Parts: sequence; structure tokens; C-alpha cells
Amino acid sequence: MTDLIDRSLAALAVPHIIKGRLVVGDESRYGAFATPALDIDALVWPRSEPGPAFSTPTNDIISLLVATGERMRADPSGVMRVACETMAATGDLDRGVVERAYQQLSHLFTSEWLEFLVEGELGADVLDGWRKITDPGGRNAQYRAFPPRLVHVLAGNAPGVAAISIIRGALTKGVNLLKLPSNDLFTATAILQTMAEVAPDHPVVRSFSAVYWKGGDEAVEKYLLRPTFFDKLVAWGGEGSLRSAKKYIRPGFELVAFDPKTSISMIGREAFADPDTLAQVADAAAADSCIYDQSACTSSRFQYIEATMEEAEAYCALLQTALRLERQTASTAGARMPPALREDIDSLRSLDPFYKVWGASDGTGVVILSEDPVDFHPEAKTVNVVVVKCLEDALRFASVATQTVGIFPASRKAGLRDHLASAGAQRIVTLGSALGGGVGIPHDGFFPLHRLVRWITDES
Amino acid sequence: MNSRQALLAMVDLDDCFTLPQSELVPLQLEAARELFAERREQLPILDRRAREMEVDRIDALDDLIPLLFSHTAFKSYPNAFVQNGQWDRMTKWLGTMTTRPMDGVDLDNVTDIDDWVSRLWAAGHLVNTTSGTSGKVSFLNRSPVDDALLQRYLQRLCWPEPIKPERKHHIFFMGPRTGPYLLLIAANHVARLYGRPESLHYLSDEPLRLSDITRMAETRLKMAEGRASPSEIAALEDSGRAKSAEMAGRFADMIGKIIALRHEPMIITGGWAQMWEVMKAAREAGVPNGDFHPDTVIQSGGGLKGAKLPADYREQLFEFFGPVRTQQGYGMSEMSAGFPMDKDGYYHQVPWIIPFVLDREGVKPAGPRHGVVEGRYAYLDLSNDARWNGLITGDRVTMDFREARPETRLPGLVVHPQISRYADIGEEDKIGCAGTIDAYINGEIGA
Repeated sequence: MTDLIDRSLAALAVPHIIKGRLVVGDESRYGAFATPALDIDALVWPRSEPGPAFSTPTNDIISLLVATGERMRADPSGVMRVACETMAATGDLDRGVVERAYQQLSHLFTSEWLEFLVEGELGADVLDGWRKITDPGGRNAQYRAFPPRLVHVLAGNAPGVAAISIIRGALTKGVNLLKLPSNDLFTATAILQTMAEVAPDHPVVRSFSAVYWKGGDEAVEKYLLRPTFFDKLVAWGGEGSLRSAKKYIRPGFELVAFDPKTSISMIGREAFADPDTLAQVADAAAADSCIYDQSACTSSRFQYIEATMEEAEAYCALLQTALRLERQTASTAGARMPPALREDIDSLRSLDPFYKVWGASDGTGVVILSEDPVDFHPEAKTVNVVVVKCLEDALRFASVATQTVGIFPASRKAGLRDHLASAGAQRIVTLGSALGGGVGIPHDGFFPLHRLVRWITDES
Repeated sequence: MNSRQALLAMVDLDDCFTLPQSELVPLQLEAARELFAERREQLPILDRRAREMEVDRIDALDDLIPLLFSHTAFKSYPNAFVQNGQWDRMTKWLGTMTTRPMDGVDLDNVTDIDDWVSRLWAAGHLVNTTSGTSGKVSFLNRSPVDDALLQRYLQRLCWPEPIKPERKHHIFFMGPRTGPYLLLIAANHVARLYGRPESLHYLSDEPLRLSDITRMAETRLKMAEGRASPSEIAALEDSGRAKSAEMAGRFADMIGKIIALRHEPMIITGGWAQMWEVMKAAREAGVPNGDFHPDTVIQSGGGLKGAKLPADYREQLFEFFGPVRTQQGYGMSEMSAGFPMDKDGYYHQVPWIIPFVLDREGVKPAGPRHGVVEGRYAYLDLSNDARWNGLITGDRVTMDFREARPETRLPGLVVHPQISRYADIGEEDKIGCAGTIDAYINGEIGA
């Protein structure tokens, strides 16, 4: 029987970090991997005392993060290499994509970036002390960004999620329980281990735990996700993470959601000016679509183009070729295409001339040209190019689930962005620029650091 | 007679559902080979799959696994065709999924999806449909030959001790009289074969309407595009409510008739929760246990669909109905026939359906084809005249390949009674930041 076979294989050991200390063990088995037994009492920081880093100056924290970044790059103990290797061997992402992502993992751990982040989202003055004001009525008040108690439900489709979550958690000085996703069980732990190697007893190190439990496990969530222990649940991702989280949101326990999102592109008639331009547009559009082999919220899935079906064909052929290229966060081979998606695409192949399809259904890149958007979710490097008379006709396809909208040419952005924002979209970029950003400027419609802290006043 | 015909002819054998693998497998293998060769000529989608998976020869049953499709294959049409009323395009799509030529279908002035389906039926495409919670409907083509096999299979009602089709039963069906669901199509055959023509009772004489289901999809689309008004969303929920209130009234009348006729043979078909309501009302009316005619047939199945019944609901129900007959099975709308349940609660293989047990990803066999194997259920149905019918399901089953076992009195390949669902592949605690509008509108229209 399946269960017996599973147990006979060696499980992948997933370590935990509890308040900065590494914990190993394989008492809890989850299919192909095993973790130490979870002691839920060890996962809370009692409210009766301030968190370890509540009074640590921001400069100290930035120094620690910078040293951590340096050590992540040098990696003398091999912690990062092992994590990268394990993710490459066991995860959903292509090995090359994982390796390049790990090379980039420490790029925000520099004083320039960290100071830009703090100043852009908060200001170090409110992190380290009180900002004084007098209101028009003559009342004096001071306020500060007080360190929060956070549970982070991490997403695992890109290792950068763990890095930015640790940076935000450290800079806001609070206590942080990271719930690991089954698709990235190692990155957060490796960064925290590296940080502990830099400064074993640093208050920030003692402010982090990173553990796995099965999302939705009542035996854990029902008792941990309470306002008596934590202030906010910082949740990434789709229904999987929000479905169970929603149950526990109540007064005193707030949700900060990096909602599940879809991204799109809008390509104006100007793309057809000459063959070179068309090729450049196709390359930029492919770059936006292939982010993490199209597993990210920023990855474009639908491209609305000002053209007729016939005119768009040349563009689709160029786009399909461009989808096959290896890029910073994209592989040639692509991600495994889900069987149902492959069948949906293969079915459309028989519906020429209403639907035209370029590329094989094997993850290397498929382009579907149509008059109406397809009703499935394009992934594994699948792009649906939808023809429109004018880009304004495509505005109705933007919604509250739309994150990034990549536009060509850049001159068309100003005319479209207010309408897109009104429909629910959050981020307008020039086509080809979807990757990156979101640090020191709003992310998903808000300033994350600002949302994470607790705003406390002292009035007189 | 070729191998496939030999397997289909077994429907008339008394030991149809208990035949040994040694007899079935060589025929199935030969029939699958012939059918695959014929169908890949007829269906480009199967030929493409075979080429991509590099399947050229079928040497063993497991060689067929790469040729099985996911259950969404039969709803792979673009929803825009339905929303825009492009019935010629829908017909073209169905044509790619079936061996039958579609040129005889009259597509003049088709008013809606129900009208389209009736035009298909008029042209001999006896499609049956299924609906998911998304509001997208599957279309499975059937030919008159397929329908004839279903009727022969239904003559074994209440196997292993089949009742005779003598038109002496009152028929109670806890659903609408007609509609393109396989359950309703089969119920109509049962009524014709076994029912007293003057005593056929349905919850509703209105046909089941697919437009009610596709309207849900339409509203979802409008919601996604921010075009649905709050009152439109409310109206959608209300229409469901008004309908269920009307149904509740008719259901109470039906229960009254069932109680009144309990000393005569009846065939009662409905969900377990509905059977439970019958029992409750009958007890309140003072009906003692075991007071039903022994030739009465209780036909039920499926899950509880959220109804709260005690764990031993089946035992309690059969204690109440007494020594009546029962017809239960393990099946799905995509399969030509269900695996009938024996008296020990095990589901027996239908000779023309090759079952597979796959790993949880639905890619490889979960184990060799002997002994007891647990995993994802998949099948190739060799009977279908109108389509290639090999599917991978979301069911987690325990399949018993042993010829005999201590737990059951009857031999043959069986599926064990405990059947559960796999979570959708890949959704197990893998968290990503990408998502769709579904997460924002789910729960608002009962999906």
C-alpha cells in the first residue's frame, strides 16, 4: 500500500529554527519530508515581556543584516549552498532558476537598500523613537512605529519571498514566526541560520522562528493564531493560505494579505512600427511572462494587443520563440504543465481559426491567440494573446485580482493608469519591467513596513 | 465476434461482474489495442497525445495510462462560445471530441444551451452532461449504440439477484423528470423497463436546465469584470432559494405517496439525505420498521453533499426499510456503467471497463496489478462508440485484484467500500503569490 511504501523511503529532513536556535529531528512525517516535533509553547513570545529586539536601534539591525548578506554570499559553512541544492533537487522550479535566484538572494542585504527601504516606507525616526507633532487645536502628541508580533505565512514559489519577509520582520523589530510553505522548506531557515552564525545571541536572531506545520492544521493554528500571542497574520498567496487563516481573524488579530494576483500586458498598435520594434516588444513581453517560469503574481498571463487576428500572428510567433529563452528567473525547459491545462490547450488547437496556438504543450512556451480571453489560468509559460480594437477595450479585463499591468509603449501609460487603478489594478510598469521593484515603494497597494508595525501614540 | 464485442456481450451473462482476470485481461488488452488504433485515426487529440507520449504499442494494460485524460477534458471548450451563443463553434468543438460526424445538427436559431443540447439529441448525439461548481458543463457524446448498452446493463438492476423488468413497480425519482444527466437518462430507462406506466413520480416535471448552471458562470464572469450589481448577485442566490422552497413542498407530497404505497413494490431513487427524510416522516406517521414490500428497490449513492447524518445512516435506513432490494454502485457520469455493489459492500468490475490505480499525481501505476493497491482511480471504458473514454479521476480508492478474498462472498476484481477524494494535484500546502479572481468571488455565489 502507498503509505507503507512511503514510510520505507528516507524522508527529507527539514530543520526548524526556534527563537534563533537550530532544531533538527524527524518526528513529524509529511509524505516525502519530516520535521522535528512541534512544541507550540516554544513558538510564542509572552506579552508579559517585550520582544528581544523591541529596543534595538535600527542601525544595529541594518549592520546585522548587511553582515548576514556578506556571509550569505561567502557562505563559509555551506548553509546556503545546501539549501539551494535541496530546493533545486526537490522543488518545482528549474535548477538554473533556483541557482540564479540564490545568487541574487542577498542583494537587498546592503546598507543602501535597507536604508532606502526604511526611509521610503517609514522613516528611521519613528522606528527608533517618537515623532512629535502639534495639532491645529494646540494638542501635543507623539507617535512611533511600535514593534509588532507577527506570524508570516510564506509563499514558496520564489526564494526571495523568504528574504524580503526576514528583512521586513527584522527592520520592524518585532517577533516573527515564519510558517514555511511545502514548496520552499529551506530558504528562510538557511538565512536565519546564517544570521545566527554572524551574531548568535543577537536580539534580532532571537526574534525569529521558522517552522513547518501543515497549513490548516487546527491542532497548531487554533491555539497559536490568537491575539493574546500575535498581532497580525502576514499571509502570502492564494486560497490555500487564506482559507484557514480567515477563520482566526478577529479583533486584535489582523490580516495583512499579499493577495493572490494575476498580471497582464497591454500592447499598443505602435508595436507594429517596424520588425525590430515588434521583436523587442515580443522579448519584453516574454520577459514579463516568464518570471519564475510564470509561477509569480507578477508574471503576465494575458496580453491584450491592438491588432486583428491576422496582424497578431507574426507577433505570436516571435513571442513563442522569446518564451523559450533562458532568463534570470526563467528556464528553457519551463515548469511542468498540469495535465488539465495541457488538455485545454490541445483542445484549442483543433479550433482554428477561432483559436491559434504556437508551441508544444510541454512547458517550453505556448502562445494562444484569440478574440476572447481563455477561461483557464495560463501557467507553465503559457500566454494568451487577446486582440482588441483599442487598449481601452481591454480595461474591462483588469480587476481587483490584477497586480501588474505592463504597457507598451510607455507613452500610453498615463492615459490608462487611472482607469486601471479604478478597476482594481495596483502596479503599472513599462512592458518588460515587471520583475523587481516593490522595495521602498508600495507593494500590493500598500507600504508593507507601515502595515506591519503598530502605531502607538502618547498625547498630552 | 472481436474481443471488444465479446466483452460487451458479457452484459447478458449472469456472472458478468465476477469473471476472473485470466478471462478478461487478454480480451481487454486485445480490445484496447484495436480501439486505440481506430480512435487515434478518428480523434486528432488522441493521436497528438499518443505521439507526444510516444505510445505506439500496447503490450500491457499499463501502457494505456499515458493515453488517459483528466476529467476536465470534456469541458475543454472556451466558455466564450457559450456566453456569446456561438453554437456552431461549440458544435465544432464537440466534433473534435467525438467519433461521430456533426454535420447533421440543425443549428438554425438556437436559443440557448438547452436548445443546443436538444438539437444534438435530435441528430442522434445523445450527449450527457455534468456540471462542476464552476458553472462549466462537460459534454460527453453518446451514440444510440452506447444508449442500447446502458439499457441492457440496467436489466441487471439489483445484481447479484436482479429483479425482472415486468413493469410492476411504482417509480419515485427524487429529481426532475428529464434532463441530459446520465442519472436522469438512466432513471427514464429504469422507469420504462420496470415502472407501472400510470405511477411514475418525479419531484419536478420541468426538465433540468443547463442554462441555470451556465447562468452561474455568466454571473461569475460579470462579477470578475466588476459588471454584476449587488442585486444581480442577490437575485442569483434568491432564485436558488425559491426553487428549493418549491421543491420542499413537492418532496413532502412525494413522501406521503411513498408511505401510502409502501405495501406495493416501488423503485425509490434519491440521495441518502432524502432517504433519511422519508424515514423520519414515515416514523412520525407511525410506520414500523420493515413495513415495505420486499420487492421494493432503494437506489441511492453518492456523497452526503453536506447533509449531517449519523455515521451509521445506511444501517439505520436499511433497518427501517427492512428486507428490501437495493441498487448501489461506484460510478461517475463519464463511465458507461457503474461498478455494482455486492451484498458485502464491494464494487465489482464491469467487464468492458479497465480500471487503473495510479499514484497520487495520476502519472504512474501505484503498484503492480495484483493484490490490494491503493491510489488514484483511472479507467479506460472500451464500450464507448462515440468517444475515447479514458479518464483519470480525483477519487482515492482501494482496488482488490485478488480473484477471491475472505471479506466477500463473490469473486472478481473489486473496489473496496472506502472511497475518498484527493485534494487537487499540487494544492497541498504549496503556497504561491499568483492567483485569480476566483479567490475574490468564491463563496459569494455558493461555489
